Amino acid sequence: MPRADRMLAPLTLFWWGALLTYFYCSHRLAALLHPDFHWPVLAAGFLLLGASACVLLQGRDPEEETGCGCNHCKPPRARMSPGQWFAFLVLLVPITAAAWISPDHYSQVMVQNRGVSDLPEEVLAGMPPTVAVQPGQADPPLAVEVGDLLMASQTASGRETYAGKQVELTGQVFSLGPNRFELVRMLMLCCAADAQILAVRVEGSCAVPAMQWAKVTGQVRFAGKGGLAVPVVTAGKVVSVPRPDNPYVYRGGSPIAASRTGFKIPLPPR
Amino acid sequence: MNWFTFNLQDFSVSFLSILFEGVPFMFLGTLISGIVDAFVSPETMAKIQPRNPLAAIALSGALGVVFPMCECGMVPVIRRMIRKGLPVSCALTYLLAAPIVNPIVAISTFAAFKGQHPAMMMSLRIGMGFVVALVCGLVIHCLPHARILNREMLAPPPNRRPPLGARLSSQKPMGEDSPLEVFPEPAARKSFGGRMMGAARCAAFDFLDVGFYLIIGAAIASVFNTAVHRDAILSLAGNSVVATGSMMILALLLSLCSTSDAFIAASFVGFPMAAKLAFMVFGPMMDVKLLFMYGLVFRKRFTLPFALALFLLIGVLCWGLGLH
Repeated sequence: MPRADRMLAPLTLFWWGALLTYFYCSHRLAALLHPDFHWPVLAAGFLLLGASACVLLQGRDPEEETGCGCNHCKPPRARMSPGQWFAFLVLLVPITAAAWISPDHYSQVMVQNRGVSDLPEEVLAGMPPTVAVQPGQADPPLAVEVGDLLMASQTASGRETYAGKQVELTGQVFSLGPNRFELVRMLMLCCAADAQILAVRVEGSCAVPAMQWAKVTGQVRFAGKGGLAVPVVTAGKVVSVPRPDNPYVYRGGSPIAASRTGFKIPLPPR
Repeated sequence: MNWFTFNLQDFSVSFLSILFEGVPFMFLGTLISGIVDAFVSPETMAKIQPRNPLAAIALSGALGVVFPMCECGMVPVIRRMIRKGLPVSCALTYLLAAPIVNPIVAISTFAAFKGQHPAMMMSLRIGMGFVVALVCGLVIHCLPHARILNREMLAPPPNRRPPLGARLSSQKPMGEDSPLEVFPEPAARKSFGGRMMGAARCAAFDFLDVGFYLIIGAAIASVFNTAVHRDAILSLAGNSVVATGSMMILALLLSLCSTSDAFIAASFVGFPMAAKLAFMVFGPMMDVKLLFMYGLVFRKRFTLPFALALFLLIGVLCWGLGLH
C-alpha cells in the first residue's frame, strides 16, 4: 500500500482538478470569471485530473520509469519534512475553505470599499443600447439596464432621449439612507476581483434588503454632480426579483453573456 | 471613512476568482516547462540563442510578440529554461517583457484608453515595458548567478550530479552571465512515451510548487482588493509624484492580469497619465503573487531589492515623461 506522503501530491492535483471541474459544471464559475475564461478552467480541471493519475501511476519509482531528472524526482526521504506538510496544507485548505464559504455575489461592504467606478466616457459611449428609444416616445415603461442610463448621461442627445421617461431597471440594492439608494450592477473585466461597480441613484423608499435584487419602475431625470450629468430615477415601484442567471455585465466578448444581460461594452477580441 | 473593513465572504470570492483565472495559464506554463525538460536538450538551447549577448537579450525582450504568455505561466517556463542553459539575463528579460510586449495587451490597452490618447498610451506602455526589461537584462548580465538564483536553481538535479572531482575542476569564476552549468541528462529517458510521462510528471510537480506561491499571493491581493477603501488611494491623486508611487503600489497589491489592468487604470480618472502608465508597466512585472512566485527562481536577497529598483526605475521614467 502506498505511503500517505506519497499520495499527497496526486491527491492535491486530483482535488484541484475536481474543484475546477465542479465549479464549471455547477455554473458557480459565472460568479467568479468572465465567460471567456470558463473553458480554460474546465480544460485545466481535466488536465489536473489526468496529471494526478499520471503521478499516481509513476509513484513507485519515478526515476526508473520516466528518467526525469528534476528535483522533484529525487529518491523519497523516509519522512516528509514539516515544511512539506505545511506546503500541502497551504495547497489544500484555503482553496477548499474558500470554495465552501464563497457566496455567489459580493456584499455591501465590498461595494462600499470599492466605490462606484468612473468609467471613461468613451467606454460607456461605445455600449450598444438595450432598447432603441426615440425622443418623445411615450409609455409603457422601457426595460433598460444601468449601463444604458449611464451611457445616455454622457451625451446631450442621450439625456434628451431618456429625460422624463418611465423606465424599468434591475440591479442590486445598495442603501444610501432613508428614501435613497443605488441600483448597482457589476461590470466584470476578467474576473470578480477586477469587477467595477456601475450604479444609478434611485430616490424613493425601498423594502428590499441590501445587495438583494430589485426591479425599480420610475421616471428618469439627470442631475449635475461635479460638473457631470448623472442619471437619477424617482421610483414609483420597487419590487424584489430573483437573482438573474448571470449577475454580472461584461465588456464585449461572450455572446452568451450578451444574450443574458443585453448589455456589453465592446472590446477587441482577446 | 473606515479605510479597512474585512469581510470573509468577499475575500473568498476575490481569492477564488484570482486563483481560477490564474490556474489554467499556470498549468499551461508548467506543461510547457515539462515539455521543455523532456524534449529540449541543453545543446539545442545553446544552438538557438544568438551568439551576441546584447542581441540575445534584445530578442528575449521581443519574444512576447511571438510567444505571448501571461505572468502566472511565465515562472515555471523560465525556471526550466534557465536549467536548460538559457542565460539568466535573457530569461529575466523575457519574464519581464512578455506580459507587456505582446499583441493582446496592446489591443486591450488601446481599447481601454479610447479617448485618452490610446495610441500614445499603448506605444508608451509597450515601449517602456521593453526598455525596462532590456535595462534589467543588461544589469543582470553583469551579475554572478550566485547573487541572483536561489540554492535549488544553482544545484544540479540529484541524478545529474557529476563526480566531485569533475565539479571541482570545472569551477568557473562568477561574474559573467554564462548559461547556468548544465549536466548530462540521464540515459534512461529515450522513448517518446517515457519522455511524455516525464513531461507530465514534471508539469504536475511544477504546478504544485508554483501553486503554493500563487495561493499566498492571491490571498494577500484579495485582502487588499476587498477590504481597503478605494478612497484611501484616490486621495493621493493630487501630487504627481505621490500619485505615480501610489498607483504602482496599487498595481503591486491588486495583482491584476496584464490583459485587463488597462481598463482599471483608465477608470482612475483623477490620476495623471504618468501614474496610469506606471501602474500598467510595473504591475505585470511585479505584484504580490509574482513576488512570491519569483522566490522559486531567485534569491530573496535579490528579489526584494530588485522589486525596489524596478519601482524606482519605472517611477522615475514615467514621472520624467511629464504626462498629465
